[in-house]
Parts: sequence; C-alpha cells; structure tokens
Amino acid sequence: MKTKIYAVLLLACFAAGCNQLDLVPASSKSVEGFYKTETHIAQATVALYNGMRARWVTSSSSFMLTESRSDNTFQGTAYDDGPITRFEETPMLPVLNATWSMCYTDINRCNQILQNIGNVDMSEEKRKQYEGESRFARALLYFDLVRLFGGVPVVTTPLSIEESRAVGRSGIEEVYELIVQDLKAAADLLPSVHDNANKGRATKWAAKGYLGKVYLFRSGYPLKKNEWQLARDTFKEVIDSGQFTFFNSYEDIYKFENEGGKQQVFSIQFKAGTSGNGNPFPTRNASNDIALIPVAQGGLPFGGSASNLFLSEDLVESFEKGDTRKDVAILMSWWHKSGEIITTLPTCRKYQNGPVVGVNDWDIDWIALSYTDVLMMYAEALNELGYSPDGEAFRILNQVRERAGLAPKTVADVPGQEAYRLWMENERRHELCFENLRWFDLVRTDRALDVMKAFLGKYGMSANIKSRDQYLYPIPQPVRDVTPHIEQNQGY
Amino acid sequence: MKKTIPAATGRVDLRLPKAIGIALLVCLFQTGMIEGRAEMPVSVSLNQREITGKVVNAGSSESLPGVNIVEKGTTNGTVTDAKGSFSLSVSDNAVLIFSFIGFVTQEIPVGNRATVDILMSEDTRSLGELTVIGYGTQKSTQVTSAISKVKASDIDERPISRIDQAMAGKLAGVQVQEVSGAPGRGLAVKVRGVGSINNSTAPLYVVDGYPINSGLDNVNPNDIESIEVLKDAASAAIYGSRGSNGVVLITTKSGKSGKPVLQLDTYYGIQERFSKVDVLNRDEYIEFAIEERNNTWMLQGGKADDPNSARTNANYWIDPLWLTDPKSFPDQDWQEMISRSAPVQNYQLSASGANESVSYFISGNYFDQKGIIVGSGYQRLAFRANVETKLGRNVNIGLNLSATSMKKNDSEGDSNGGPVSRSTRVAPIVGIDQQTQRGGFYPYHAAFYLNPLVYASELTNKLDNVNLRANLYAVVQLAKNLKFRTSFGGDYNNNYTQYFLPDNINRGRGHRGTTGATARQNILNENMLSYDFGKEDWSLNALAGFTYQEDKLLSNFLEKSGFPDDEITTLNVGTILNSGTSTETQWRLMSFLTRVNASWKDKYMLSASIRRDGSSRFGADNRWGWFPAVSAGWRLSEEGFLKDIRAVSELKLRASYGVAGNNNIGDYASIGTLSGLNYVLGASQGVVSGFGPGSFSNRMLGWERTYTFDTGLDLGLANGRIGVSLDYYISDTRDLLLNVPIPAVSGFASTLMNIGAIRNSGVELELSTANTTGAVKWNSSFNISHNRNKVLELGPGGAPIYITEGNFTTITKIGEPIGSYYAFVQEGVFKDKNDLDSHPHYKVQNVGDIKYKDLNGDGAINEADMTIIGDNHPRFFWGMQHTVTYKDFDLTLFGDGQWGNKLLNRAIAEHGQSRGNVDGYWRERWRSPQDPGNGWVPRAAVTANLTTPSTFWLRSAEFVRLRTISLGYKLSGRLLEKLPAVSALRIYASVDNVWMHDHYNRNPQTGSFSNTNTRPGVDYDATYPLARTYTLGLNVKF
Repeated sequence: MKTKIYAVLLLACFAAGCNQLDLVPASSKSVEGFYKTETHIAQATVALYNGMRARWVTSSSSFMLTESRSDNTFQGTAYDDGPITRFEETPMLPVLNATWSMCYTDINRCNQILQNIGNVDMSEEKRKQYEGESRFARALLYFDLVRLFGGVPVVTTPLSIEESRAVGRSGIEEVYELIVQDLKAAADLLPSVHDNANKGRATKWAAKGYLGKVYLFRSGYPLKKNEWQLARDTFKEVIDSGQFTFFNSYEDIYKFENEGGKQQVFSIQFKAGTSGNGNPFPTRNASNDIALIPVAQGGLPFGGSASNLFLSEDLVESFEKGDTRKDVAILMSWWHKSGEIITTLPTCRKYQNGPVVGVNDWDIDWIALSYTDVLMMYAEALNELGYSPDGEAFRILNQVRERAGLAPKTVADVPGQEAYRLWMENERRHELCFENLRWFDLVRTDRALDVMKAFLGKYGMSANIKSRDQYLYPIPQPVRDVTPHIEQNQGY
Repeated sequence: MKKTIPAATGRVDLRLPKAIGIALLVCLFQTGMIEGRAEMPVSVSLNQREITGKVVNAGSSESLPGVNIVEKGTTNGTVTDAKGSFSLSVSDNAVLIFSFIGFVTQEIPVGNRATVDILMSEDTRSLGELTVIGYGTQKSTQVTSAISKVKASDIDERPISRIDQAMAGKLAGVQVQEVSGAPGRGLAVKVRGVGSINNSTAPLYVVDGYPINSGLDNVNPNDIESIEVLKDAASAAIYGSRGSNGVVLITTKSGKSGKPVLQLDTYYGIQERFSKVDVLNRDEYIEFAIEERNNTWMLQGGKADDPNSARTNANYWIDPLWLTDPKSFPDQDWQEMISRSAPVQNYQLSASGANESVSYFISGNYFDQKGIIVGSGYQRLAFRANVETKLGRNVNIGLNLSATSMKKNDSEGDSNGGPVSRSTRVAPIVGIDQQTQRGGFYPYHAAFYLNPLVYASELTNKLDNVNLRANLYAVVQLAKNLKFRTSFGGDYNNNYTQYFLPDNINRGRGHRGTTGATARQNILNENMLSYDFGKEDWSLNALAGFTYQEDKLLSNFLEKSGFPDDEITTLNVGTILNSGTSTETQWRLMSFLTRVNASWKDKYMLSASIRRDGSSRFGADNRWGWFPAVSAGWRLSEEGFLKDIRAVSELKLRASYGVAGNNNIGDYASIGTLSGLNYVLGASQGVVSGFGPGSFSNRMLGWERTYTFDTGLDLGLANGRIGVSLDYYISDTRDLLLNVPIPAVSGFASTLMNIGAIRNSGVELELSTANTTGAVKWNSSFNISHNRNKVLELGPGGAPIYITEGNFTTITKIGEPIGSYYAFVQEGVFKDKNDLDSHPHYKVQNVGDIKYKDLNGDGAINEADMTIIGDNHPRFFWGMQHTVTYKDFDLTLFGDGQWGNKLLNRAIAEHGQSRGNVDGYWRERWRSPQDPGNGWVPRAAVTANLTTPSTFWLRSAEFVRLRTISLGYKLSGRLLEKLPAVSALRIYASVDNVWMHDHYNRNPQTGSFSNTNTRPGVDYDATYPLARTYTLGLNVKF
C-alpha cells in the first residue's frame, strides 16, 4: 500500500517537473523575438550610435589604429599602440581583431534592421529615419574598415554561421561602392534637422558631409578615381545648407557650451554621471601623472590615464610661433602629482572642459565631423580641380590660419598646386590633431611613406617603414584562422 | 540504519557502531551462534593462572575496548574493558585468540608471561570497511571503480583551515593547487587533469549527499568523517551532468554507540612568511636606475650626459641625489613591512552519542586566522547538528543541519595592484609615507606603484558570509529488503562584500566605495528506493530514484564616489552613484537514476548505473542526457590458487567505463541575449535605451561528456602491511562547450557550440606500507600521479585558440596540452658586436639584447619562430607521509611535490623598468661586452627585450616540499587515570611548510591571477605568499 503511495508521489514529481526546465533569463533580454516591433527597431537603431561611440571614442581601438599610427604621437614602450606607432605590429596584435570584430558586429546590427524593418508596422516617417540611420551607420563602418584593412568582405544581409564561412574579400572599389550607395540613400532618407527629442541623430547633412569625404578618399590613394568635382559639389551643398557656421575662435569649437552647435556636422554625444555614457577622451589622452587639480590650474580633476597619447616632439615643434591652436590642443606645462611643474612632457588637453563627474566621465560631446573639416576638404577639392592663386581655396585656409592667430599665406608662399597640398596637409595636422584624422590623410595623399620614414628616423627606426603595404594593417590572424581563404594583405 | 546481516556470513554492517557490534557478537558467541563453537572440545584444563593485559590499536595507539579474547580450544574467554584491559585465568601453554571486527585476528602463546599486551592492526581486507559512493555506501572490497579516500584520522589532529587543504598531496589523481596563501582562499582542485576548455574544472562537492553550490568555505573541516573522491566516470556517472570533473563526497561525523563523547579540539599557531622575493636593495636599485634611464634615453636618440631638462619624459630623468648622495635615501624592505607574524587559532567542541533510538553529533567551532600580510584575515563560526531518530519500527528520520558565519578581510594580496605585488615593485628608496596622496609621490618613480603598507592598511575589502544548510530525511523500511529514502533540503548562502578605496591610495581620484550582495537559494529533493538482497553466494543491491534541484542566485552591486572623507566607508555618505545593479539567475536540474551492484562469492563484482539528467541550462532541443556506467571487479585473492599464498592478502582487478557530464556553462547559455547599448540623444541629452544581439541562440547546446575507461588493481601484501592501488585511465571529453571563433562577418566573434575533444590519460599509484610493527611503528603512504593532457579536436578547421593578453600568448592546439605557452625561445644575450652580427635579429636589436632562436633556420627572427615553450600541467605530482609511533609519541612527516611543468610571470615584462624596483635576477644583467652578466639577463633598458614574449618569462613550476612535521603525545596509563573525566588526551606540535625547493621566487603553484583553463599558471607578481605555521594543539575526549 505504502509502496503505491510513494509511486504515485514519485510520478507526481515527474509530471510537475518536466516543463519546469524551460527557464528564460530574468535579467537580460533574449534575442528570440527581437526586431519585431517598432520599439525593437528604435532600440536597435540607438545601439548603432552606441557602436559609433565605442569605435571612435570610448574603446582603445579609437585612437590606436589612427592617431597613434601617425607622426603626432610616439609610444616607445608597451601597450598595443606601441607596436603601431613603431610600425612593428603583427597580425596577432589584439586591437586589430578587436576592431575588425567590433565593425562587423555593428554591420550585422545594421543589416538586421534593414532586413526586418519592412515587416514592422510604423509610420513612413519613422521607417525612413531608421532605415536612413542604419545605412548611414553601415557606410561609416565600411569606411573605417576599408581604410584600415582594404578590401574587406562586403556583407549586406544577416548571415548564418555557415554562410559567414563562405564569405571572401571584396575589392576596395566594391566596398567604396556600397559606402557611396548607403550614404546617398541615407542623405535622401534622413531629415535636415531633428526635433528636440531626436537631436544628435544623423541628419541629411551628416550623410552628405561624409559622402563628400568618401569622394575625397576615392580620389586619393589607392583608387585615385578623380571625383574631386563630386566631392566639391557635395561639400558645397553642406556649406550652402545654412545649418553651419565657421566659429571665430578655435577654442570655442571645443567648448562645452557649444556642444551640438553649428560647428558640428556630426558628433558623438555624452552625458556625465549616467553610468557608462560619459566621455573618456579628455582624461584618457592626458598624462598619467597629471595633478588632480582643476583644469584652469594646470591639472585635471580626475587624473589622466596610463594609456595616454604620447605626443611626439615632432608635432609639438611643428606649430608655428603664435599658433593659438597649440595651447588649445596641448598642455605644454602642467602640474605633476609630485607638485612639480612639468615642462618637458606635453600632454593632450583637447575637450578638457565642461562638467566631469568621475574618471573618464565627462559630459562634453566629441565632434566626429566638424564644419572646419568640411570646409578644408572642400578647399582641397577646389585645389585639386585647379590651382587658383588667391582663390576660394586660399581664402578658406587663410580663414583657418587667421583664426589661429597666424598671418595668411600668399601666392608667393604657396606658388602652385603641390605647394598648396603641403600647406593643406600641415594646416590639417594642426587644426585637427588628436581627432584621428592625420593618418588617413597621409595615406590618401600617399605622403605617409615619406613622412613616417622621416619621423621614425628620429628614433632610429626608419627601417621599420618598408613600403606602401603598410598603408593598410594586416588582416587579423584570428580572422584568417577561421576563414583561411581570406588572403592576408600584401607585405604581412 | 541499524541492521545486522546474520552472523553466519561473518559480515556485519560497519555503519553499526563498533561497540554494539561487539556486544552483539559476544552475545552471539555466548548463545553459540558462531561457527567456531562446534569445534570446541569439552575438556577444560584445571591448572589455571591469572594473566592481565592490554590491547591497543596499532594504527591510532588508542586502547581497544570490547576485544574478544578466547583461550584457544576452550570456551574460556573475556572481553577488554573500556580502557582496553583484560584479565583472564588461563591454563599453562595457553594460546590466546584476540579478535575484533575490522582487525586482524591474532593468536598469541602466553608462555610464562603474566602480562600480555598486544597491538592489533586494522584489517585492510576487512569485510566491513565501507566506502561512501554516490547515493550510498559500498563495502570497500567490492568497489570496482576508482575512488580515493581521506579519512578523519588524516584531518583530525592537524591544523587545517579548509577541506581542500585536507586533500592536498593525499590522493593520487587529485591535484590540489595552493594557488595563494591568502587566509580562507580556496584551492584549485583538479581531478585527473583538465577536461574542459571554457568551463570550470572544479569537482562537484557533495556534503552528506547534498550536492552543494556554495563552495567549501562553509564546511567546517573539524566535522569531517571522511572524504571520498570519485575519480573515474564509472563512479561519478551517477552524478550525471555534473560528474565529469570528479565528485568529492564529504561525509560529516555522526553519533556512535556507546558512552556519549564530549570532545574538545583546539590549536593555536603562529604563522610567519615562508619566503620573500629577491629584489634589489637601495644601492643596487640606484645603480640599476641610472643605467636603465641613460640607456633608454639613448635609445630615444639622447646622450647619456644630457641633463633632465633635455630629456623629454620623466621616465628618463635621474634624481641628482642618486649621483651625489645616494646614502641619503632610505633602504626600505617593503616586503618585510607589509608582513607580520600572525596567529591562527581553532576551537571545536563536539558531543556525540547514540542509543537504540537516537544518534547525534553536534558541534560548535570557532576559527580565527590573521593573515601574514597586513590587512588580511579569516574568521569562521560554525555549528552542526546531525541527528537521527527512530520513529516507530520502520521509519527513521534525521536532520543534517549546519550554520556557518564567515568573515574575510583581503587587502588584495592576490591582485597585481595590491600590496604584495607592490612591495616588490616600489623602490627601496621611496619614503615610508610616499607614493600616497597625502605623502606625495616620489617624482622619479611610477605613480601607480602605490605604497604597499599604506595600501594594505587603509583599504577596506571584506566579505561577510552566512550559510545555512539543512537536509531533512526519512528512511522507511517498506519491506524486508526494500527501503525508501526521501529527503528535502535547502542550502542558503548570503555573501556581503564591502569595499572602500580611500583617495589616499586611489591616486587622487577620490574615495570610492562599493558593496555587493549575493543570495543563493538552493533546494534539493531526493527520493530513492533501494533493495538489498543476499542469498547464498549472491549479494545484490539495487537503487532507483528521482532527484530535483534548483538554484537561484540574486545579486546586487552598488558603487559610489563623492565621499566627504574616509572616516565613514559605508555608501550612505557617498554623494555620487557610479553604478547600481541587480541581477537574478536560476537553474534547475531534474534527474532519474538507477544502479545495480552485484557480487558473487565476494569474488566477482559487477556494477552498472545510468542517470538521465534534464537541465534548464541547455538548448530546448537537447535538454536531456543519458549518463551510463559499468564496472567490474575480480578478487583473485579469493580464488583457490591465490587463497593459500599468504604473501598476497588481497588482489583485485578492476575495470570500468562510464560517461559523465559537465554542465558548468552559464545559466542561459543556450539562449542568445541582447546587449544593452544605450546612447545619449535629444537636445537635453538624456540616455536612451538601445539593444543589439550579443550572442546566438543555440537550441542544440548540450553537455560536455567525459568518457572514461579505467582499469586498476588493488593489492595487499604481507598480511595487509603493504597496500597498493594502481590505476590507468583514458578519459576523453567530447562535445566540448567551446566558444568557437566564427567569422566576425556573421556579427559575432564566437558562439558556444558542442565541438572539440580533450584527452587526459594517466597512471596513478597509491602505496601504503607498515614498515615496522614492533615498539616503533612506522607507517608510510605514498601517492604519485601522472597525467597527460592532449587536445584532440577543436572547432571547425581545427584552428588553434590563441589567448593573448599583456603581450604573451597561450595556445590551445590539437595534439598539445591545453593552454600551452607560446613564445620565442631565448638563446642568450648578444654579448658583443660580433655576436650581434652573426645572428639574426628580431626587429631592431642591439648588443645586450635578448638573442632569440631562429627555429626555422630561415635567417630571420619573426612570428614563425614562436613555438610552444611549455605548459602548466605537471607531468608528475606526488605526496608522501610517514608516521612513526613509539609508545605514546607519534611523529608525522608529510611532503609533496610536482615535476615537469612551467609557469609564467607576465610581470617580467614590467620588471626591467626602473620606474619601480626590479627583481634580484637583474643583478646578473649584461652591462658591457666585458661584463656580460650571466648571459641570460639583457641590458638595463626599456626595450622590446621586456615585452617580447619568450622563454625569458618562463619559470619552472617544479617543487619538492616538506609540508608538515608534527609530533604528538598521547596521555596514557597512570597519567590519564589521574584525570578521571578524561578518556583520551593528545597534545601535538606541528610545523607547516617546513622546507621547499623550487625555482620560482614566489609560490610555484601560483594561479591566483585570473587564470583560466586556456591560460593556466600565469602569475602577475600577484600571489599572496605562503606561510610557515608553528602550531600547538590539544585534543581531549571526555
């Protein structure tokens, strides 16, 4: 009798239990059923901006593969950017794969939205916005990839694991083709301005600004497509939009009060004190040993970081006397923690203003595409279309110079197209230092070989510069481990 | 629980407390049920005389009460009293037969002696000795799988603070790595090597039948009766999806029949730091620093005589005082300063007893260990009650209850930024209050090397833990041989951590405080039917059951800054909330299991079991798994042809095969999750929620399965004086839960899949000998294990898994041990220009730099010359113990060691920089072609020498250690009689970590710095040092 009772009890246990094994995460959202509602698509789109923020500002990839590669910095010792500054990196270098993976993770997120958005109910206006943002984000992802690694695989739909194994490299031209298409589409889909609730999202003009930039890059090394006219026209549209103004003070551009203002074509937004949404740039790039006192007194309220940019002597000394941009960008003398004033180790000070709540938690936005940059690229396109003594290209660069407190250059100083190119290179270096632009500029103008050879020569390392193959990074080894058919870049 | 098998078979269940057994036996004997009686002659000699004597247990030197003594060939006999004494009238030339269950029966001719004192040895082939197995017990002779055991006698009377310590060095095939000397820190226990790549390799711990999830922190080692380790899949498969890393069965004490025993165990010890790291002193450091800074500055294109003002970076500056007045600096020994001699004390009071209807064991324990590094310590207060009572004729109910509260203080001795690491990095010339916010920073020194003493003293990092574990059970005798056992229990574990980093040691980034709390609620229900059957030569035990376990973990974490000062460290005074979060996670496991153990004539044994597990952790399409096992044994010693060979007292051959699983993946690993990816939008800049897929869903995700074939033999020689246990195994783990790198173009860098295989194969030997048995008794035990780890399969294409961090890479590659070190091979140092010119360079190199081996002989040094330079898996590890007893004294020596493995200190990449102090080996550096040093250490300069991974970073992890010497004295005879209340008393003195020979300046078993299976044996100057402990202890029984 008892046996029977227990048998029954036992059976009851079994029956009660079987579906108890279906547990879903209590503290994280599951992917099952995502991309099905308008809310999902909106959330997925916000994530794309988060990706840009990581790629360009908050992750170490942001500066290591760009600013650190250029002659603006030199890192003699450890850290991932050490080998990069010395042109000693191998395909194993972790930051390479981290960057590659980060880009494709976000590309997949773009593709997911683009694939699913058609099946979700929403207003036409919203659909256009999300689609435009996704294509904008995707274009910039490929733009980064193609400049870092060359002809990378072009993926425009979500892939299964099996499908992803079969994907091979595309040509550089093909990658650029997608970028141009996406940016053109984005420019059509996105509004010129956003309402207050949506300020900070990509606009038509951000898309146009980047499109012009892409034409500029296509016209340079290695494609040399001669799209200077397209670049000029596109930039002109941005300039004529009336949305942007040229500030009269260089310092004002990087002031917290002016964030989101008319000098910014597209920027990455930050908010301090919100756990993970603050800007690390001002502190991260400053010296590790800086004293913990207010900025105005030559220190920082929360100290610098060990992976700070090590500014090269070459950059510091290349500023002309009286160039006011130097003091905005560089702190030449600062208080060391020990109480001494350090005058021999200049450190980056860009963006060091506005509210700051904690380590790496500043409020100030970070400008991804500035209006000055657009103007200068426009001027560059003009010069490439034809040297015009004292023409508009002269006027723009002199406007930039005069704002920096420097005397304008004359035709005698800049007698021809080639001289203007060098002038532009030099002006861009000082105007936009630490904004991760210098290295790509040197590559597209095919000047990197000469410039970097001379630069590393100062450290006895000119032999590290071998050929133009180093204009691209090696394909990360882990990528080739899983997909051996993806060929390594030449020279690695 | 109390049941006897008819005496005619000679078998008695030893769970039955000995005293009752003896009493019953005496009864049986007297009522003529024992076979021997039939042979008794009727005549009785009339020439009698009185003799007396005492019987003592040869193993424990305790007196043996209840020993049966019979004059051979007569019915004349007696039983020893509570003190082991007896007196008996015997005839001339009498021969006495001493017998006692579980001991070797002895025949002693009395001769003309008036006193006959004898030692009785435990019978290793005793039919009664039991081994705890999964969901039951089994007679040791019948065990057919690989199980190793630590008995209470190995744990009692030794100063042990944790259960894992009790296992260290004691068991073949069980590697217990003392990764750190921090008080209360868990040891890394590996059973038969590493059988997983990404998941925990810790065994499953089962306390009194309850598989626990809350770790060993809360198990009081003083309560332990025995520890059994199920090593092969055949014995572990009954634990199914959790058995593949081995299962450690911990059995706590229970009441024993007889007089209630009140017992006090206490010890007090002083711990001293075992060793210090060799670093440079003041003068050596200053010399090194000048040399390094000049060299490094010259590498930047400068000249050695450039003044500081010309040097672009503080890293190249030279303090003028170094040159003019180096003696004005202090010469601090920072390691000495953060170390202290620290007391450790333990008090355990227990009471136990049993009668016909109730048995109980209750205990209270207080343990307090201060750490040898300032700011560290461990305290535990533990209570236990194991009670069982009879409820009517057929029902027994019982409760195992333990309550523990534990406190830990950790001044981050195992962290790279912590005081232990910094005590070797901060230069001896730094002032005692410098390298802090208040004391200022020495400007010619890296600021992030903080003052270790201030750090250790001012940091708050404490853990408070409360654990309550209760298991209520009932055993119902349903029919003659049929029992039903049901239990319901809970394991509740609460952790609360408090952390406060004052600004003074936070480099001016303000005070920072965090708290974290976790609450674990684990419940278990088990229902088992067991059937015992014995008929003639057959015996059979069958078991079937159902178990259900669930576990929920709640945690929260808060971080604040903006504290007004460092007086109050709780978060209420912080003004800025940096982070606040809480999470909940849960798993459930449902299982059916069955097992049959059968034997015939105690000669042939067969055991088969199967478990079916369903787990919430796995993909919906692969949620249930089968875990079968089968094993067989043959006791050759029971066969006619061996039975008469006296030299061989036991010989058993065993073979087993089984499948066990590893389910140590995340709770929801099969379900793809969305990552929170927020962004700031809007004119007023608010945070907007964003989400993107963070991982794939894999509905097919299932268990890792370990298939183990084990064969072994157990051998007893010379009347049990020599015991040998030998095992050979091949253990293949398949369907590894591997984060397989997938093409990033899929949107994910990797995904969790069941793919890949690892093989562990090895040989284990356990040997115990009774070397001498006379007045001086010398017993030894020795164990040695060899395991070879080999990766058999990896993800698609078999691509190796590289893990690169801090410049060095480990590789997990087919055909090689998991997590091998991958680097260049150092050939020496470029001694001079000639040397430099005649050998290829790695990038730009100069005289004094490390010379790397051109492995492929292509005349160039590049990544193709990197190779596997070693791994952390010991080829052999061993332990050895000798116990010598003479009269009332006992002396124990215990040693262990490992051989054939390497370790790697990634901090070596930072050692050669004078921004802080450097290790002593830098004395042997290259200084000039005339003074090339030891040909191994390069020049003092910050170059790629430091950061290029090579064998320069590698150290041997081999060691030989005399772990413990212990000397005990047991009160006996008249001395003991003077203390009428005391039935036994032992005092002992012991020294732990007496001596060690190794090749690493720190702890060769290191592994405290975020080690993983694929990155094992990696140090980062971050190992809390080991202590040498001098202990005095006292055990009293009342």
